[in-house]
Amino acid sequence: MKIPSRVTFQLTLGPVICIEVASIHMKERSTWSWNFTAPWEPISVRRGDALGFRAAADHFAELLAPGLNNGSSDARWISILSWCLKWSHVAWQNAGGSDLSRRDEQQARYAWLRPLELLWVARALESGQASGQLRGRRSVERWLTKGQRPANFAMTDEQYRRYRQIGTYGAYRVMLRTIPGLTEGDGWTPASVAHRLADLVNERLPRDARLNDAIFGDGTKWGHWNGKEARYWVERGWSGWRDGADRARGMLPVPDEDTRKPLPLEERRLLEPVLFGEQSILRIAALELARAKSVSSHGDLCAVLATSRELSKTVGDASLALLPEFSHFADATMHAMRGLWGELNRHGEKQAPPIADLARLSDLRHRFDQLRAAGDRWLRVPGRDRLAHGYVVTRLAEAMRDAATPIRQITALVHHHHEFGGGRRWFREQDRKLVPLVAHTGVVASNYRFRLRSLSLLAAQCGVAAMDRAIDAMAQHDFNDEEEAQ
Amino acid sequence: MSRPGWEDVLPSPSFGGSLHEAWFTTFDPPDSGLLVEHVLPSLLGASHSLSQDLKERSLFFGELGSALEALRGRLTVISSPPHADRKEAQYPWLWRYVSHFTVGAQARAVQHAKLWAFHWKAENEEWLELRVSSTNLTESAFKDQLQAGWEVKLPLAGRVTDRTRRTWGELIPFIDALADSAGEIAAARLQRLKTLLARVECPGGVTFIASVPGKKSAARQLKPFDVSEIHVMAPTVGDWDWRELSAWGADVGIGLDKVHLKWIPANHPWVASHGWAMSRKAKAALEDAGVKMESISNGSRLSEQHQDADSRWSHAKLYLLRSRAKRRLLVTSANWSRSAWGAGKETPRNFELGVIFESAWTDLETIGEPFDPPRTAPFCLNREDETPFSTLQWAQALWNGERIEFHLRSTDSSMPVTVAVSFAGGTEKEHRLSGGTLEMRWTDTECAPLSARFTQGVDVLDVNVIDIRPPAEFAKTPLPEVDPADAAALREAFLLRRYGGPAVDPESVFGARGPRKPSVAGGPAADFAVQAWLDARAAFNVLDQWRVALAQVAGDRELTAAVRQDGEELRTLYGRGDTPSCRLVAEELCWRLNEIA
Repeated sequence: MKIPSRVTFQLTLGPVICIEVASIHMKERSTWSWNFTAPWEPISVRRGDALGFRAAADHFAELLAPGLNNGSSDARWISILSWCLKWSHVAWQNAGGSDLSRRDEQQARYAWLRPLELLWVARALESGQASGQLRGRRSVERWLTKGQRPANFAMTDEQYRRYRQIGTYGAYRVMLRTIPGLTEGDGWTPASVAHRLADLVNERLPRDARLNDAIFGDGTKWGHWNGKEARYWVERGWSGWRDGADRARGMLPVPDEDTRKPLPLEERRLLEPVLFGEQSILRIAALELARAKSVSSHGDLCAVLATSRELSKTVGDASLALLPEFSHFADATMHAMRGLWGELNRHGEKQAPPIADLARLSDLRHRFDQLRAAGDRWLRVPGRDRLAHGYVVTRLAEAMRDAATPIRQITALVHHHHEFGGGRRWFREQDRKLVPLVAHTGVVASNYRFRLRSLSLLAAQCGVAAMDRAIDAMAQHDFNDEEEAQ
Repeated sequence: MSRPGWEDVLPSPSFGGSLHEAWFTTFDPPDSGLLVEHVLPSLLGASHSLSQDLKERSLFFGELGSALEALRGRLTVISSPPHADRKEAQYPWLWRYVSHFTVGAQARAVQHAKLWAFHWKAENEEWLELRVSSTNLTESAFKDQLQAGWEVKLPLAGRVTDRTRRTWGELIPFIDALADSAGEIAAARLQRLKTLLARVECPGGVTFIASVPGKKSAARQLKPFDVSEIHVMAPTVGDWDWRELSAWGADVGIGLDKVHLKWIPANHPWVASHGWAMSRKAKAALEDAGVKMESISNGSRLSEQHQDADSRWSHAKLYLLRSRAKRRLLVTSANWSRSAWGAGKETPRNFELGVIFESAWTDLETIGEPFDPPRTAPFCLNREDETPFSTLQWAQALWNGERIEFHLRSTDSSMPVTVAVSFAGGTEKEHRLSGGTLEMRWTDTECAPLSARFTQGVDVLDVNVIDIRPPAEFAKTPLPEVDPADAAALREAFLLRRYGGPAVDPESVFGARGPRKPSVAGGPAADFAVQAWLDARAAFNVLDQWRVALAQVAGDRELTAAVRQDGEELRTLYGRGDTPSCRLVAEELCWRLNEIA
């Protein structure tokens, strides 16, 4: 078949900007080298979906706290990131950036943002602040100790690359993208509120640390800095990053001891309307949590939310009805998982205890009795079939119900973990023994949660309500481990 | 190049290029957790990371799975057969994408070399990166051990010549022997590496030193360097006897009193690692032969950056050769043992590979001081043979989508052999093998075969099933570790991105139900441009990128089939679009696919 020729066309949409590509031609670099390997600190892999319940948990979290995540718990960082977005956008555009639709272009855009995130961490450390949300702190401390000489803030290539996801911007990216006024909807281009927040942050900086447009119009050879963005900010763009760090604690990331305190009024006035607008689900959920009387545990809070008339008007009558039973069952299952993990390590990392031996342990039997009871409650709750991804939960509850003996109960849970767990598995059954699959330090055994803590902290900082009682209750669980495996 | 660098152990994309093919050799079976969570995302320049957040995790596995699928048949790992009790692996699906071969198809062999080779491409340039080191593909090798390595990145010419290939010296016969030992499919992969080596000359001043099981002593390869003194640091010293040591010295052309072995004292921190071993018998033989044993003190450091707080133990194998006015350094995988080197008429048992070059680095000479018993005495440990004899010498399991073929080489043809196959989903089937081969019909793409365990008496040999299904069949197996409801959308989003389409938008991927339409320009026009024009340009850009990819793989049947399959999926995707540009692109893809059919 003859292929017809295609008419090609090209539209010139603006001035063509030549970007000096950071890649180095191989012909200049064909020499060999020999080396020793530097210490490798693998970025810890979060293994928090041991049961495969994350999708169901996220369903509830999206209903209650859309756009948040467990890491987005400091409203100050929204102000700081707005400042970072504003000035990195200027630098990125000066360096030739214009389009954000493709992966390479987004990576180039982020390359201008990342050093500013890390310089704020460095600024906080320089001020003497030792707590708060300071992601990448260990590397930045090394970088500071070594006189800011190591490239990329003393991070390895892998750490620096993954900071995009595990760094501060990664934690707040969904908020920045989805909350109107922060960005133009792309998570990158600052919108009106972000500009005002950025200006506020800038004004609160000591004069020598402030940025202004003139800094970026000084005849900089931008192509030279592509691929060396961190150096650009440290040496040229924000060379005053540490100036007055000790005098400017007010605009640093919030330290741990202040996380429940409201931010300054001026800042709250900008943040509260966008994060907790009238009739927004975040405001309604936060107010429900704040109003809850006589709550003493996370389970109590789930029950309050499930029966809230205000919430049901917004998210639908039946949507949250399953939350208490789901949370109770998930907590009971994690309690049993931690019990197994604890026993496994009591036998030593290299041993694999027979499941029959484990089944005789009274503590484990008690945990599995609680698990089965919680499973029965889940199976009795009406409307559980309507929960997206609820089949994984129901399947485990049914398996536990059908397992008559402790040996079968342990086996059923271990099989479920292996079949539905996400990421690395903790252990598996082999030849009727429980065999560990990760090192004893390799398990993150936290319970399934619904971003309620982030929501409560943001609400407290934005002055929506006093959230102390809810935050205190969240720390209490229905099932408490004497020896939690972490 | 005299001073050593201090480099990240993780390989990463070079010079903005993308990975086209990779070969790894390792002694220990590769650690799938290390590959999935660190090595492959780094090599592929992944945008997403393994996170607790479900969407980010799904994007991570979607991106990784899509990238690995595009590279299927071009990611090769060759190791020794895993005779030791095998740890249950994480991510067993990995071996559908990464082919894991073992040596021993022709005769007993140990694969101890650590050669990693990467073929990079970017626009019109291609490069070959070679790494020769002491690093196995295991987490402990990366995290707990200090390794030494040599590396080079070379631009590839278009022309393939035998003269160019010969400049690589012993590396070529080493690859040939490895290919023979790892089976036919591995041989075809290694042939491609040899072709690349025929496109660029070996850098000047570099000589490869290779051991091949059953071939001449590799120590003889050192003789041309006219060695007058040698300083050795390696964590394992073999069970030499006096006769073997003498033969080794004669092969190298050096008196054993000119050999300086750098060794740890019994109170050295590296003792706790159990990584260093020399038997009392070997120590006595070395002393009898006049080898000078020198103590590596607790404070000894291998480079400026090597800190006291660094708790890793050295797994590096270094040999500093002095000859007249020159010093040369050998960076290798070879411990100082007969198995690694051979000696006299004794041939090596292992595949080993090293690189020798001139060096002004003298630290290895000065690192040792005489042992001073009882204050310092050489550490001795009798270690069990790492590769105990097994009747099961080599095995392979291949799945072509219709049947699984099993091949086994055993030293005992009389004893029955069973093979137990594990499938995705947890099922297992057991069969009896006769005559070293078996064919088993299997067409279930949802429950793909993952691994096979061969058992003969007390001996066990585990292998990962090598998936050789054609691309169209392979595409039927769901992406790993992602919700099946999101898998198709993820797959299409990353397919588009691979061909220059927009960055993956989580909102359009997750929760998208029903027929999906291709995202085109990536976002609305921000200026006065006409959206339809932008969409058309974006869609035709994807088509053009696909055509370029197709042209680049011309002549390679397997790769053409993979790109063709991508074209089929793009056609389906654009066929669902409701804009004129989508229809035009689908139409043109249809013509072009018909043309290459």
